[in-house]
Amino acid sequence: MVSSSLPSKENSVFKNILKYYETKQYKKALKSADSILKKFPNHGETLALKGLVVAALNRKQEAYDLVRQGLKNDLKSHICWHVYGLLYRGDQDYKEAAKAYLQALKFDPENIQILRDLALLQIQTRDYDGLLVTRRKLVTIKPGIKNHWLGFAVACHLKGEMDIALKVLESFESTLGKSSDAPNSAASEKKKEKGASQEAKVAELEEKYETSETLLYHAMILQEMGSWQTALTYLEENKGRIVDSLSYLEFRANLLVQLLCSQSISSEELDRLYAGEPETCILQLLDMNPDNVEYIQLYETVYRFRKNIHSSNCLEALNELEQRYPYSSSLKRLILQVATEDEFFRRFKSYVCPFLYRGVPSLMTDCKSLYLDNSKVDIIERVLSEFYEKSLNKETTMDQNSTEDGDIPPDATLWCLYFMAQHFDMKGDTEQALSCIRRAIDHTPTLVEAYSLQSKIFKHAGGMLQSLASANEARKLDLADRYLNCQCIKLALRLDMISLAETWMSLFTKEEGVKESQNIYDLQVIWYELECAESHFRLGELPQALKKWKAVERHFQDIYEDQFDFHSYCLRKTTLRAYVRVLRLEDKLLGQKYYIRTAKGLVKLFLKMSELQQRKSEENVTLENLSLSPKNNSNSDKNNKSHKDMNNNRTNSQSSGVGGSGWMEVDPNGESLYESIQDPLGEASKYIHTLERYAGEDIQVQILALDVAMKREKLVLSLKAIVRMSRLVVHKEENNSEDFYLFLVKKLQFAHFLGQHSHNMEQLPLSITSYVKEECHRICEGGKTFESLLMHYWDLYRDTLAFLVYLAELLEQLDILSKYSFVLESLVNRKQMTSNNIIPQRKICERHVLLLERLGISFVEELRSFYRNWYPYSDCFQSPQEIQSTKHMLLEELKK
Amino acid sequence: MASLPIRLGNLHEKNLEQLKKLNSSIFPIRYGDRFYEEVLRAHPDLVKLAYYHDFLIGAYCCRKEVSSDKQIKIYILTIGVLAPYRERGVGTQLLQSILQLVKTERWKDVTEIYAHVQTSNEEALRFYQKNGFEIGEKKTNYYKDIDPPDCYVVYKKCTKGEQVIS
Repeated sequence: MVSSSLPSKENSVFKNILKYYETKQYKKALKSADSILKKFPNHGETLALKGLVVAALNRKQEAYDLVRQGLKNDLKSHICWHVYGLLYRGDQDYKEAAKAYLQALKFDPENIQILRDLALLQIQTRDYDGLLVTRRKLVTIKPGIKNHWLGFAVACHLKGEMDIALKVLESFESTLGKSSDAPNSAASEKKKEKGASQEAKVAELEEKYETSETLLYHAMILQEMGSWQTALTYLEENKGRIVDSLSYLEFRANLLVQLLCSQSISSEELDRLYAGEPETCILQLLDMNPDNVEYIQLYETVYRFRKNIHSSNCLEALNELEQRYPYSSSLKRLILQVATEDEFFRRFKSYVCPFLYRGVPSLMTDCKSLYLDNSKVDIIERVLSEFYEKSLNKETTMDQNSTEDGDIPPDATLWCLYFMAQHFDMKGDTEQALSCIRRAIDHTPTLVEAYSLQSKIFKHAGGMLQSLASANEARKLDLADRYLNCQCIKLALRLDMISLAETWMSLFTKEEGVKESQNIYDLQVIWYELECAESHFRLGELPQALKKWKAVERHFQDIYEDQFDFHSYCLRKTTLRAYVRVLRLEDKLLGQKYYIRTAKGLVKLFLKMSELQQRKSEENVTLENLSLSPKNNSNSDKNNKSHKDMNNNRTNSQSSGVGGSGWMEVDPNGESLYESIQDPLGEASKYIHTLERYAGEDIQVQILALDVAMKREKLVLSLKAIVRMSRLVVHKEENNSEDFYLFLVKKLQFAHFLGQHSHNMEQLPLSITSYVKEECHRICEGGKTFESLLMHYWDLYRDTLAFLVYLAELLEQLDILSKYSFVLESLVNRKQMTSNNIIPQRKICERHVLLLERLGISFVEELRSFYRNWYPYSDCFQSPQEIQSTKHMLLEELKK
Repeated sequence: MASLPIRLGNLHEKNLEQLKKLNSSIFPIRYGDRFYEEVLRAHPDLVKLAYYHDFLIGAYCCRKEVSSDKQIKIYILTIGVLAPYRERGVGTQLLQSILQLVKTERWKDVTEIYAHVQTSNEEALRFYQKNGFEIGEKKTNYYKDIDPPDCYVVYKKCTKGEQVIS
């Protein structure tokens, strides 16, 4: 940077500021800046640069003020704008930073440094249009630099301009040969000097690899374009220069299979060019690694195509491969997926027995997917009970013929029982599962995993307290085991025993001088923060819940942030294929289930918050009528203040961890964060937007979308949510009937909403009115009112408990339960419950009990003991006194 | 039959509960807090846990004793293996590692290794005899809560430098 408009003496001082800044001598830099400002107090570029130094000293507000002041004095300086961009970049506000950089470029359009920086920002914000322009400029201004070519190619690729990307790569590749030859000969000349030759060798190897990666990237683009044949030819032509021979083969195999299955060229043509090659290529890969599932699936695809088999699973292909690779365990496992009946029996037996002999606790995790097929579940049970009988006999007869049975390990029975317990748990047969695990514990009372499994069985049956007791028994057996500790913590949080969970958590998070919650935050322990947030929310502790959920959200922001360094690193290292994959992964980051859970939680919280605010303002109105207190005034004051706090938080968090200013250390209970939320429904809709994008197929998301839309009195958005819900429910009506009844009740709620907001219809633009009216008409089963729709469904589904419970919950929410007293009456009627032979899901029964408890209906006691027959282990169906005393006993036990 | 491969481990606070579970499954006597406090503090040579695969199946606990005539003895407090894992040489491996101790520098002054065995416990008596122990005096009414209340002392003398292994 060379400053304009300064005398030469000051100009050299100005250069010094930069030098000091780059070597982190900020105090000297400040002094230099001040010395110029003494003479030229309005010199814009110096002011801006001073701002940059001040920012490095973490005085953010002052920095922005200085730079803005500098800009005001010198609007046409690219330095000022550049510095302004740097400030925003430092605060991770990439959009604003990019704007400033673009301004800077107006005054210095060919500044390479600014262009490069801008490209990084544009890719981070996925501004592909802008990126393409910037990258094109870079390669035009300085075509001699490798990265400029690759960067331009990547930009074209990401923008979808595949043809240009290919052309760019082609012209870049044409330069590759020459440059790689030259250093080769140079290197051989230098061979006499040992050290230098070593260096040259490394450089040569690196260059070879980079060339190879560029070529493979080229092939990847061709593949994505669907130009399989071109890609194959391209790979073959460049085979000699591709050093990653595994990737070469994998590419080739995939391309051959794609070409074959696409039938884009005639089969004669294909045979002429690549007769039998798909198979040979895949077998070549399998020879190297017969356990790679992807290779096996490729082989299956080819096999099915050749034999014209349309079913998705192909036992013959797998059997054929197994002949060739008898030791591949992946194959054995995949065969289990497709084999049936006797074949499955035989196969499963020979698969599972060695594992039972060897004692593999994770066996069920491996076998879980087999349980989707009910006929397989029965066979599994048969195999297990046979094995169990056999191992028992061996155990008792061991004395007589001990030589013969020397190979049967004594813990085979144990692992069989362990697996059987999991098996019955999968089937939902709690009784049998518990019986198996108890026998396992009797057999070997020191097996920690057994107690841990017992805990899970109780958990699945709704007995959280007993689950925690078992988990704690396991934990005590090995106090150094983090997993067992975490299992207890999770259960404690599910039981809303937060302080107990914190005590356990602290056993593994001790770090000196850092607050515990900050330590957990720094380690990004998402599962824990999520469970905490959900527990606080259940307890009505909204600020704490908000704080924890926001913490999780920040982790995701950090993860997204982490890719920034790769934009320059990957270009430099030419790992373009991996780089593009990372970018695509980051694009789907918010679709991760932890994020979805967080966003859902936040929406619920904001809904609750708006409800509370509404109630409060209603109360305020009545209060104001009584007295003329200046309440409103003080309220807004407080809000302003907390808003300032928020800003401080943000700046502080930059230097996380130092001197107790980490994000969790400032405002640890989230009070000021909570108060800073002005418009909870606005916040909620932001998250709904994200949820729709990444998890629109989740019915819970649509329910939340509907709730938010109705709260905001948005007719069209409500309609959109209910229509989407109807499509989801139609798709899976049979296997998920709970969702179906929930949907019915949501339709009722929608009808109620329509009844109350009919005037909204008139405010709609004319172009959509008729469509909206039609859809509403359809959703309400022919334009029924709430009242008649309710009676309509009532006649159809009054015998289904799920419907009754959801309906009563809705009426309760709308505060019209007493108006339709027959709904509640049906829920306190014993005959009604037994009239149907189907046992309702436990979750529904639990909601039933909780509803009656909320309403204070004494029938709840009878209902509890009634449901206890079906679900004897659920906490919800024990008498409250009993639960209290169990909880008490557990806590006493834990104190020891 | 090949004996079961075991790995010996040490006792510490983090896994103490495992030893408690093991003992309460093997022995008719309930050992109290004082017992476990003692074995936690004992020298690691004197308390060993036997792991098979990765879980506990057996253990021994000993105490160093100095008699009135200044003789140093090792008293075996407990030695035991979970029922399903017996008859596979685990107990012998445990007992042998106690016997090996006296060949080491630290325990070279030990003159005797001994234990108490309930008179009815023929299995245990055979076990000790097989490993070169002798049956000594009978102590009547030694146990309080189990029947029969009598026990034998089983012992093995060791002199300096002597090969202890039978």
